[in-house]
Amino acid sequence: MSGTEAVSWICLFAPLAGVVLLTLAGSRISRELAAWAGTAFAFASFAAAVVVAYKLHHEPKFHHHGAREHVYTLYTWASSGSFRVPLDILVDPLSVVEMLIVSGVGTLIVAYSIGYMHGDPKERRFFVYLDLFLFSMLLLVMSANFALLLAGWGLVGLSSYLLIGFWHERKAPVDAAKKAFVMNAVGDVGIAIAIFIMVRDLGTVEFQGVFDQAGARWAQGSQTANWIAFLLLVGAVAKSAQIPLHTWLPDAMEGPTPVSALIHAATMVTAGVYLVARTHVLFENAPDIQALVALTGVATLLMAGVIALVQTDIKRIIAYSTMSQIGYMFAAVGIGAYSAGMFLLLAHAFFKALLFLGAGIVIHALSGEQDVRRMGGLQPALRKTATLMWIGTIGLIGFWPLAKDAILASALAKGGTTAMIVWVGGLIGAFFTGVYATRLMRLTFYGERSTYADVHLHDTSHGEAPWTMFWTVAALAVGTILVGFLAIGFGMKDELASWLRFVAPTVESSVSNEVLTTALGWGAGLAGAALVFWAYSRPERLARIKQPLRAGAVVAENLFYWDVAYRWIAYLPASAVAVALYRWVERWIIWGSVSVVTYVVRAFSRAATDAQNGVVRLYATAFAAGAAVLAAYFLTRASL
Amino acid sequence: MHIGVAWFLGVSAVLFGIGLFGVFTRRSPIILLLSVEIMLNASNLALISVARYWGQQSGQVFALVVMAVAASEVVVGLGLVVAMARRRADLDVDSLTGLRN
Amino acid sequence: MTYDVVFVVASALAIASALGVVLSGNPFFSALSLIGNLVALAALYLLLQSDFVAAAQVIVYAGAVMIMFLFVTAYLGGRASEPLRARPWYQTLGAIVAAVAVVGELVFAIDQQAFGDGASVSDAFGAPQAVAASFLGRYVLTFEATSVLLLIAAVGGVTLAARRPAPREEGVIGVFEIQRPAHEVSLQAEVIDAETRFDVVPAGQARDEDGKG
Repeated sequence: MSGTEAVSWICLFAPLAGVVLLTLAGSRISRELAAWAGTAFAFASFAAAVVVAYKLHHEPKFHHHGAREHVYTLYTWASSGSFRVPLDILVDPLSVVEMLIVSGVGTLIVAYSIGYMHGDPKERRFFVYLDLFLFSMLLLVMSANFALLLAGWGLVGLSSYLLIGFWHERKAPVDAAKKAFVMNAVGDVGIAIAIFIMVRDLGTVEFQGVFDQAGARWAQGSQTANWIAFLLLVGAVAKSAQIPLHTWLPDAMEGPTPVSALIHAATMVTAGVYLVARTHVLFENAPDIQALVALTGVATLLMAGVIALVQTDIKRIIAYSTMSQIGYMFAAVGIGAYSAGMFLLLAHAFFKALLFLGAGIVIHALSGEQDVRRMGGLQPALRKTATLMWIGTIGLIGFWPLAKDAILASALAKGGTTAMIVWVGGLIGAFFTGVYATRLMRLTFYGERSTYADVHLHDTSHGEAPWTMFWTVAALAVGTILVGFLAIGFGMKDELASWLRFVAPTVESSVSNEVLTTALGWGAGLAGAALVFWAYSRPERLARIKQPLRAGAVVAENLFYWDVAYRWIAYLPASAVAVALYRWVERWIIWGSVSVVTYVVRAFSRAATDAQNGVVRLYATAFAAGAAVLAAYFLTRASL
Repeated sequence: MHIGVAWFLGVSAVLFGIGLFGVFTRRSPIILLLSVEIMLNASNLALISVARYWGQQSGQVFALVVMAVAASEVVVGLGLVVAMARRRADLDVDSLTGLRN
Repeated sequence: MTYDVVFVVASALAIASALGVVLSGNPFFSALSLIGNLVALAALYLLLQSDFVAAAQVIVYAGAVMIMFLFVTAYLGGRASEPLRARPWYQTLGAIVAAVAVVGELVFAIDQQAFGDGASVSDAFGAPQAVAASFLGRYVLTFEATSVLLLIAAVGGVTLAARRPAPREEGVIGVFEIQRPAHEVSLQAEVIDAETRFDVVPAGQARDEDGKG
């Protein structure tokens, strides 16, 4: 076992060890110890990921196929004839990036939870769940075959379910958890069916084997190729909250804020992007479906951007912005700009976690209030938080980590209808982003402080938040700034793209394209931001702007009627079928058959009981009658 | 018309059926025993007629044995009737339903 | 010709008296009918050249055995007659069907068989000497077994009809301590235990006891 291999396994299993040990320890250890131990296991995973990244970085770059790509097998999980499913992990540049994001951002958020969840009666369990999530997510991104990927896929769904419904004493989190679980299950089924097709046609679920044979086995654009890609897309869409399986994400904000930051911003929801990037061979084999990926992304980014404009819950605003940002990522992988998409994924993990955790500090400071209309003017009280959140907002609008601009520049460079739709839609989305991100900041930190905020604002003279919460937010802000240097573009260094070149290529763009796109993107974002400050400075201006947009606002406030549509398309028919089945099948056929059976048995047993009346003469009669019947049989059969 | 062995056997069958009917329908233990006697005698008639038919002595021997068995059966049966009469007022075989349990 | 007349008369008499036994309500009359039946059968035996059996039938059967019946009937008096209670219709129907079916099948079977004239036998056939030779020769074991059977039946009859002694009780009689055998006691305990455990209560009552009904 080479050093890299051992460290890779440590990276994967450290959080699982945390789960097991914390579960076994139970209430024998104090809450504080459980929290710190949970963080320590996450950090161990991160440290291992750093080591792996370092070792991989020092391997030769441009070697033949196989360099910087390792498959480590622990044991064979299932074996049937020539078909094998080993428990193996794939360590290559793409999975290393994901490992770093998951364990790095994960560690920061777990550490943040030490302060955020302090005093919660179920604190220990929370850290167990968080570690379980980290393990599941690492399994997802490290697996070297589709079966293990699906296992991780399902496990993150499970831990997401557990964490969304963490405060299960209230109804809303439980409903949200169920909704998320059901919608994710749809995606799981999609991936499972795709795996079945792979097993049928290729006899393997190993990434390498599938990618090597896919092109030869399934002609480009053939029906099977399209189905495979489409089914994987279903899984990706469900996990990443894209249209049409997106409605669970805003509801998932019922979970604790660290959960929202970790699962529903930084890691799990971007798994769909990772999946498409990882299996891009299959998507490039089905160009129509890949275009569908891009169009899904554009539709989602625009729709989520519009909805975010009218949301009033601080976490929901960020949730919709997450949905919108993932839309950009989908658009990126849909046009083949995989490393650009991964760059946004990386940057987004930092700045979105930063925004969520910053919002968590605000919520914490206001005794759990999440409505931005009841905030306002918090900047003097939460000076440091405001500054940090501005860094996140700048990242979100796309000023510094030039991730979004790289995607749009790639789209412009690629050309074609789909790419141009991405380009135009992305720029419009940039304007929306500028508006809602700035609106969030404006409503929360500036303007007149609401009476509610006045009353409920904690005494902040001792600092705005516990230091465990604060330093993690600061670390994320530093990360947001630093991550931008990984891929600047403009012909300058693009570390990430060269790092991912062989596993997740990108669309090379010209400097002029990039300059144009970045200028337009910045312009759109700035325009949005300026518009917000201009409009919110005077109420009548705001009213004047809102007036012609009322109809649209109603649609946006109703979330584009997706929930209503699901109610009519899925829920009501399903419940009608259920009720009908209950009324007719269950009551008459099931219960009826049971009653008939009991009736018949009872009648028979009653007859048998009556026959056992002890009257010997009757027995004799029956005996003679039986003998007569037998005799009749023999007389007619036998020749005398 | 010659009276052959078949006629004797036919009479035996009819007697047997009458005895059977008596066993099935009568409830008085005494009449029950008498009906059983009829059945035994029907079989005796069959034995003897067939003995004659084959010219074999064995049938008669068996008939005599059956008589002895019938006598034993009568002894035991009447003993039971007397015992019943001592214990119960009701001499009805249908009230003897101990086999039900 | 005489043979045929005797056969018809004797057969008719046998069947009629048998019906009298079965259909009569009075056991006394039934017993007398059976005597008639036995005598008629003896006549048939004579036709079949079974002299000794016919004689035994009349003397032992119609004489001694039937006297016993009459004694018991007389002993029981009115209680011997048929209890007055309606019998279920299906029982009568079943009895008729079963009896008719059996008779029909027997007659059918006899009719199917082609009987010849029968063996020609000497006058010694069925004589006491011949029967005795069979009994004490070839069938001596049967003979002895029959005598043992008769002995057992005699003892059984006496035991059944005799008055029972008072039930055995526990305690001390004279110098003997009398108690139930241990296995009997434990068996009784088991039975009692089983009764309490498998308490059979109708469904409705069980609910009432729980207070849920």
